[in-house]
Amino acid sequence: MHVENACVSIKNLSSREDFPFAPLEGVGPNLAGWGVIETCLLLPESLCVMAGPSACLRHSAFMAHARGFTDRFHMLCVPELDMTLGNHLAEVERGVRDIAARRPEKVIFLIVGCPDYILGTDFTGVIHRLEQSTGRRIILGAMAPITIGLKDSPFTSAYTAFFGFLQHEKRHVDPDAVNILGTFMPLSESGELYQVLRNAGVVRIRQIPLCRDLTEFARMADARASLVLHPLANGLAGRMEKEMDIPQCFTPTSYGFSAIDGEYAKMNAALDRELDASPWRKAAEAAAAPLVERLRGKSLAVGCSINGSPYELALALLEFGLDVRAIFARGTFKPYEWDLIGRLREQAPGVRVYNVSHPNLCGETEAFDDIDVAYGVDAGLFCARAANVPLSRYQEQKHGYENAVWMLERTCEALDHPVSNHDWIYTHNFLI
Amino acid sequence: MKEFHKLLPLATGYFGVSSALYAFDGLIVVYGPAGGAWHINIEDEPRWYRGPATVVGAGLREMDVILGNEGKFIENIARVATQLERRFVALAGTPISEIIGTDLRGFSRTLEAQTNKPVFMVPTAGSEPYPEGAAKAFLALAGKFMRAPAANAPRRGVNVLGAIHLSCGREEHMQPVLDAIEAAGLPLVAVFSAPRPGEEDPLAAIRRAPEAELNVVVSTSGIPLAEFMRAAYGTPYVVGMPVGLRGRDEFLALLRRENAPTQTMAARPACRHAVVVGEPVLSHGIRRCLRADFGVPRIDVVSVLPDEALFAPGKGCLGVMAERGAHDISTDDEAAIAALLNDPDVDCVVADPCYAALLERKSLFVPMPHIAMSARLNWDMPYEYALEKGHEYLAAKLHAARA
Repeated sequence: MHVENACVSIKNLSSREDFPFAPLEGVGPNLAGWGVIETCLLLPESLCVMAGPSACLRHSAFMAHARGFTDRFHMLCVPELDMTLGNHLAEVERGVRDIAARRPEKVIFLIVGCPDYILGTDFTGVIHRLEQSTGRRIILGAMAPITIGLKDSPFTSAYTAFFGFLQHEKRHVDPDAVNILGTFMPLSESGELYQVLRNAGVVRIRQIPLCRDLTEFARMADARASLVLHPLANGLAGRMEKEMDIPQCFTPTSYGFSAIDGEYAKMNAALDRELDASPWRKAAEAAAAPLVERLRGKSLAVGCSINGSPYELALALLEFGLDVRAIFARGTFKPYEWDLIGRLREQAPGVRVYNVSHPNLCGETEAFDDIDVAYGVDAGLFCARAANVPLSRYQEQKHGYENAVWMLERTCEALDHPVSNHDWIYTHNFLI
Repeated sequence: MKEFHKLLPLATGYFGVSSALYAFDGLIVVYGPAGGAWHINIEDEPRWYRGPATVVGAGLREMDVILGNEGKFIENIARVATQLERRFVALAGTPISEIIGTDLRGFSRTLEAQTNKPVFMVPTAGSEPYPEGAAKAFLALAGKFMRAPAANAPRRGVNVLGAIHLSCGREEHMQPVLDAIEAAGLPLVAVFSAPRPGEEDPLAAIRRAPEAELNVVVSTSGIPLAEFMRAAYGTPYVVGMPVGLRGRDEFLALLRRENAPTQTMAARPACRHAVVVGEPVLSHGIRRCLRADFGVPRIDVVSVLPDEALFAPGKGCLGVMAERGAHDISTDDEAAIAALLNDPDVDCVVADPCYAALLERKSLFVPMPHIAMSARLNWDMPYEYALEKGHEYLAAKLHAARA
């Protein structure tokens, strides 16, 4: 069977080399969210100009149109020949200067693609002259998938570049302030994490998507610590810790009660406060019980387009006593995931892990006809008969025990009122 | 340097390759970093969803570019094509393969020897218009699969060239054209780019295509293949997209090699100055319909793709359903198109819905999706252009505005 070449039992997954190799990119739907442009535009008062061949620009333009952030996004078309000859530097400089003249933003991200990256084009002079002539901060970034696996992802690099707006800020440590990093959709101020932090006296909570301007963003320099909810933000949090002495606490979006217990313990230590989340846990246990009952006997699959780690969600579902059959993943493992995989190996060695990028998987649905619930639009693509629960980072962002309940509620909602995988992808744009 | 802000850059060469070849059961390898094939499938290719691996990426990494690693990629492509039993392999170039000078032709020869499958390359990069990529793909397909008919074999039927979804939308929009050709007593031999229904081998019609007596070109991506077939097999061709009633009559007359019927003008036009933006052949078809079926006195065409070939027909061209207007332009430049659409005299725009973002004043806007612009944003939108259905669609939009 074609599918067999694309999978491994989790009992045999101990290192990256064990993961099924995809000889070509079979285009599984697994790269949801965190486009470079979107990441850049999280910074307030920023504008993004992307320069490259039309083919590369079209991809980013499509995301901008589908998600409605065209206003702060401009594109400059550069033919390959001009790039090879280095003829495009003056044109890009003029193009950015013209755009800056029409726009009020204080920061301009100039994003180039794989060709400039491979050619090693030196934009130093262009950026210097542009900063002089426009009075704006110009930040060079790359949307270069050719760097995958060797360096920080383009998204991580873009997010880390925000450090440039903090590093020169004078730091006045505010013991009651905390940064939350790595959120795309912001956490709600009425949600669990805000409440728990505030009850412990941490009252000034800052998230990048909620900063109205660069001045407000700059006050992140004062935080007592940074809570990192997504690995994307590890680079930025690391520099803030190393160069500004702002401690970081990695507390990724999770769904399992035991994982969430551990995260609160880490936050307690990092903030040196007693965070009392026990009422939230108790309420969540009560809310989760009937929801979990509804899922007993159902077979589940987890994809990697969810917000969070597919291995953590699989583990969470197993801890609820549910039946996880399959995980759809990429070969890019986060360091913290190996511990989760180790626990999965012990608890459910028969779980099958599929390389969602493997060309053999394209069009294969029959092998997954026994799956009742598929988490993530990638899993939903293959599990054609399952209720699809996207858990997309473009939906609500929650953290703590309420996130576990939210996941279970969304699952029951999908069983009661299913939305097709096709609609999640093509109507709700949860794939790109 | 072109700047885009409210519009998307149009699909380019390797998107055209995909559009041209997708339906023929091959493996189309976009030879570049991860992401190129991904975006074609997710955004520009309606046939992707839950379909077999058809457009795939080579997934080039930085070290592959530095070290070459060609042997690894040849091995990978051969493995996938063989395992998945694809009928052929097409290698499409990208900006990276163009810049580093990858020898895709050499790859093809090696792969063909390794797999015993037909393998060809399509020399695309990343900035050329998509019809160029589609045209090159069609020529490669023809070179690989077409077989010359026997010297005295009767020539019968029609091929439709250039019917790619990036230009013509989903197949159902083109179906009235195919039906009209058959109703005119001309059997369809091959449609580029869709297999004929009921044939087990999706390439069978491509092999038979030289047996046709006439080629009908419905988008500029089909013109190079028409010229090739004229030179190789002596097949004459016509160019045009029949839009509306007058378009239908002219088209059928062209197929029968008769004179076009006398033109009648509608008495009360719904607008006075229309601008049609889009693929050149279809846009000129819409212009003829607006003029003849609806009496619009002035219609300017903005061809967002190169249109020179349309107005410099080759030796075997029997007729073109297009004439260059005094104010027509050929550009995809956002600022130039915006300036034209916002001309105070213009009171009607027929264009892909994305162009509505350029309008700064109220004007009758008739949505006519161009998939190479808006892809999946609009491919399910209800619209028509061909023959009677096109007339009805335009009539409904124009009369709604008048009411």
